[in-house]
Amino acid sequence: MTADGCRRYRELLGAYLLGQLSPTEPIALEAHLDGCADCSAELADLRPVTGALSSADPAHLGSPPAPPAELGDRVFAGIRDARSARRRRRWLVRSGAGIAAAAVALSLAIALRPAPSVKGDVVAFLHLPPGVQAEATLYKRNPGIEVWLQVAGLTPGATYNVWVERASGERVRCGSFDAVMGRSHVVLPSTVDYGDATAIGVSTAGGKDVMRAPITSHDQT
Amino acid sequence: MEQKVFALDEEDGVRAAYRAYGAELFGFACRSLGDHGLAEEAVQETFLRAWRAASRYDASIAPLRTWLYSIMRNVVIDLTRARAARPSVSAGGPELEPGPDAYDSALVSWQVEEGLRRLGEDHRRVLVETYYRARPYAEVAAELGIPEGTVKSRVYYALRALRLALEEMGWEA
Repeated sequence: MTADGCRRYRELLGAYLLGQLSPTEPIALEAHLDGCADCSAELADLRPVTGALSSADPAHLGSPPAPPAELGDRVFAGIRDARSARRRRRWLVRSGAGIAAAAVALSLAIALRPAPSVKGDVVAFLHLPPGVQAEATLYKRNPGIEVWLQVAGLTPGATYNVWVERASGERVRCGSFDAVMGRSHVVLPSTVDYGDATAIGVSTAGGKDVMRAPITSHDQT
Repeated sequence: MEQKVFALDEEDGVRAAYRAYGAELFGFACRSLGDHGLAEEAVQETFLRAWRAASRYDASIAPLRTWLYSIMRNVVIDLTRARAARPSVSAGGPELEPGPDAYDSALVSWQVEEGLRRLGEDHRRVLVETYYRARPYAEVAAELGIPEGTVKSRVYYALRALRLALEEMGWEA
């Protein structure tokens, strides 16, 4: 069989596998397949593909939802935190294997070392508006802090400001975000120093308070 | 299929891997978890676990994409179970029952859908019209302004292209 002769039949293979040929077309095709190893192999190659078609949902062929732009940053921040924690652990293990006399120096070194904040401080919001759920975690950074906020139940599309309150009562805005349907995840830096931050809160763009959480513990060394 | 070497224990490597597969993994996590917030958690946790396990990754055994999906499998199952244990936290109902089987069948669907998305518009169109919508060839041919025989051959070339797309994603028949 010439290549051109094969091509005529090959181009029917898809419709054949999907049962879409007219009643008489398969007769000639099957006769050709009986005598052509190449076309039979092609048929065998395509069979699993037609089988897979049934597992797709044609309603889902549009563009899938795209991740928020800042998700990548959160991925890398999480890994940086984990890496700092790992280095610190390794350093401790290595140092710990040293002689006993090093123990004092070691504990001193730990105390003096700018320790990475591995576990943040979770702060609880009091008096949330009805239907709103929120949780914030503060990570000590040098300088300042990083605020991770998860909040659900805000007006989708509306802009909100996030601020950190100093012991003096002064509020320092760290940024704003547009609420999304479902849960909004927000990561914002604040210039307020960790030890000086006494509360964190969210206001509407118009300046009305939505929620406020006192920062009670400063566990991060 | 993996042309590029991703050094996942380095930040650059994780960034490259995220650029290549982050959006896709997020799309799948949304599909299987039915919640964007949870899907974000799943993606973060997947890359964190990948970074932790970087020394155990062997590119000669599985493409990175396959490996990341297998990590996400455990993450999604963990998250689904955790959500089932505290039903009040999430308002949106789960699209998946917790369990590996549900994840695997969702993953197969997702892969085939992703394969179809990667086809050219002409190829995708004939498969959607003739297979998913089960419309007669004559009708589709008239609508597209091409001979019926061309619709038939296009179905064939579409299936070949789909096979290639699926193979690129590490699919095994």
